[in-house]
Amino acid sequence: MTTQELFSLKGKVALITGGRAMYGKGATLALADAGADIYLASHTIESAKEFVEELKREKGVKVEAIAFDQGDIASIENLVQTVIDKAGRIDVFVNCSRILPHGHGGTGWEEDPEAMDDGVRINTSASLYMNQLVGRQMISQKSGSIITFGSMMGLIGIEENNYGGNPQMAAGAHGHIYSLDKSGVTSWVRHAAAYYGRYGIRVNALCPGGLRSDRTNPVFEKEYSKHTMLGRLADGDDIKGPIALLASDAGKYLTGLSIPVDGGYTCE
Amino acid sequence: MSILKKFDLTGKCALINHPEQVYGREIAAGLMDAGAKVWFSGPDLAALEDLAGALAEEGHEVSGIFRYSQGTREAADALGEAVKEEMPSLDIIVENSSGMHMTGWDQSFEDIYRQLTVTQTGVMLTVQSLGRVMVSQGRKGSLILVSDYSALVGCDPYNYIGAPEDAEEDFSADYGFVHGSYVNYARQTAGHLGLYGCRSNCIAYGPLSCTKSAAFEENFIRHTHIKRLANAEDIAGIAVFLASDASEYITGTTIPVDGGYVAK
Repeated sequence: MTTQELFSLKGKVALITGGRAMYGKGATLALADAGADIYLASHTIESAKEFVEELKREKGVKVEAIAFDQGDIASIENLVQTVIDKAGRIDVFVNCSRILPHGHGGTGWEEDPEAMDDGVRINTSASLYMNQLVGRQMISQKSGSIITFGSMMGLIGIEENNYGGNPQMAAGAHGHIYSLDKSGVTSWVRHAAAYYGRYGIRVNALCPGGLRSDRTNPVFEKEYSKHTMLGRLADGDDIKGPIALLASDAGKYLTGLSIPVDGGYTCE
Repeated sequence: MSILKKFDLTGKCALINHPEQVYGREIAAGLMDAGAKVWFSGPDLAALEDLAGALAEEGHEVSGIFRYSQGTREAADALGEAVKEEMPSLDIIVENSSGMHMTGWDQSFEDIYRQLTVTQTGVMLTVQSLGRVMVSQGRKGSLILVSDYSALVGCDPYNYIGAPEDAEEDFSADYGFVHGSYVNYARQTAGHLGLYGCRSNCIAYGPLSCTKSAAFEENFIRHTHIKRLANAEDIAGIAVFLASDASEYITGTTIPVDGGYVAK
């Protein structure tokens, strides 16, 4: 098999949650470029449907949007069962959906318990449960690749200087839930890789750094970029290669990894 | 100052949350041996009293017990208030909840969520509340998050050959997640506590010898450099070090205490 063929996902069924925006969008585009049949689960189904039409038009792949709500367990169970009913299998699961547990008032050290609870219930518990549901299907197939999202903020602590003395930005960095959850993801992939390995299932995490968007604070961008080896924030393309690697047979001996995709931020 | 005096915890007060969980007893005895006064907190008053009684028989007197059901801000704030009222100071916080993990891989969402409400949300609320008390004193304080080696590496299937009960216990839905979550939480909390001269670290213990089957023990120690499981003194030594001024330039780190298991 050529190296290029190893990266192909032709004939493979991929389920991605949160695949419409930010890093998720890049991940979906990578799955489409590699030729996978894609089921795109989204909280914002109308926007997802627009994206799906764009993918069909421009990439010529089989892709379908499914509405789901990670805060609703029946919705998660329905999502996984729907994909199994329609496609008969799940070869790749990209678990990218995360709610942002903000908007409850407290920030930083005094983060509100409601924000912590949202994070633990929706981001952690529901995500672990969803991995289990997909994992059961993959066990029956004796194959599969689970890719979940950690963060460089699950690998290192606070860099005060990135916030340029802006107390509001710095307060956000002093919160509890994001770091705890993302650190858990990094450890969980090793744990799950050990459990699922006997069934031919691989489990890995990508730990991206800050993604540049039109909302990025310029002070943050300048200060943060100084701490990367490549001198910049991530762009929309940076996640595509790592997704294609971990999803495909090109990564078939990779499991239990948390790969930083952060321009070298965490290696200094 | 003599370096050995830096290990002296005389005049320091420690709170151990969930001391009834694995490693708690050894840490409590170690801190008291080094001169600290030790308080307990946890939901099961009878279990804490039993543990305090057992320690007293060895000459280790626990200074007080707080009944505390972890998981809500009200409970965490009430614990903080009780600590301020009863303890002369709060110099050392030992968060020892991670032993309360589930058993078995396949779990319902409700069971996972219920469990993580204690070992994730509850831990954050405990650290938030007690951290607030610690930094308000203007003293050097130390937060110790107790975890185990699964925070750093996955459970090796080899170790469970002939040890199905250990496999059922360790390959649980939350085991690797919860233990590993404390690694970066130590770094994160170190960033905040550092602004106030306080520290935060995590300990990744190897299994304690009395808690595992003979088959697991035989398999596991093959993968260590020091050919045995951890004993009580191994558990206590690192806790005293991180609690004391001997480690005053160490913060945000996770220290494996596992006989070299994760080193190879």
